[in-house]
Amino acid sequence: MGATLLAVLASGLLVLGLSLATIGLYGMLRRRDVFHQLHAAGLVMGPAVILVLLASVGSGSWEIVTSAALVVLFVLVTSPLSGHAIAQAAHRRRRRLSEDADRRA
Amino acid sequence: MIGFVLRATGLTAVYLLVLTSLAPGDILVGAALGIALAAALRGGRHARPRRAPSLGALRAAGTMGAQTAAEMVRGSWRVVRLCLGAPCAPGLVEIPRGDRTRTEVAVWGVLTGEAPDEVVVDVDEERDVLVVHLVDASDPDAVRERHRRNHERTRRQVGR
Repeated sequence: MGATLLAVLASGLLVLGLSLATIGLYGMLRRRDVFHQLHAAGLVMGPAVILVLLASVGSGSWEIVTSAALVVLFVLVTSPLSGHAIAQAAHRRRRRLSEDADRRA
Repeated sequence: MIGFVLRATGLTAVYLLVLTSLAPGDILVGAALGIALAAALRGGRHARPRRAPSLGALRAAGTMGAQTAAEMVRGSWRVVRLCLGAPCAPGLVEIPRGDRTRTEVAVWGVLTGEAPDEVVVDVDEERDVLVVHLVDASDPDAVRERHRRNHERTRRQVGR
């Protein structure tokens, strides 16, 4: 009974995670602005990956669950940082281009 | 003392997670290594004294974690709508830094960036603001007010 419940929970998490990843990927391809693409990428690299990793509870293996827990921690730390690095570069580049355009005008 | 125990426990937990083992021998070795490393780190902290985290700080960390999880859920929904082409008003919002220290700004930035609908763009040192790109920037004042409220709640729980 418990194993069946875990399997159902894991399947639900997996479906939800993969659905979010698919929608995020669609958004990345569909959107043209770099900031909009970053939000879509954040959806894939954050909640979608975390849900897929949480689905490891269905495996019933401590080795897999603990490895997944470590990866979740790693993702929680690195995902906002990578998004920030790209956003900062895009923002500064955009500001420099607009300053150059103002100087030329 | 609480800080020392927390550091030792955390290091032991990382050791066991890497080994993916809960065998008594591994727990003993992990605990020994964790305590030794935590003691070594404590010995090297002569440069400036640090306060041990109080129970209020731990409660504040729990509240911040719960708030961040809730924001991740709400933010995911907003980004799903953005990806699927629903009308929204993305844009940059400047949030005043307030009385946060540099470390607090770094933690605040990471926690804010956990929600996929908020990307931390920059910290403007001159104007003392955190620049954030939001999926829904239609009401910047509400965003500032939310961040201010969360910060004040954390401050109250920590007791500062």
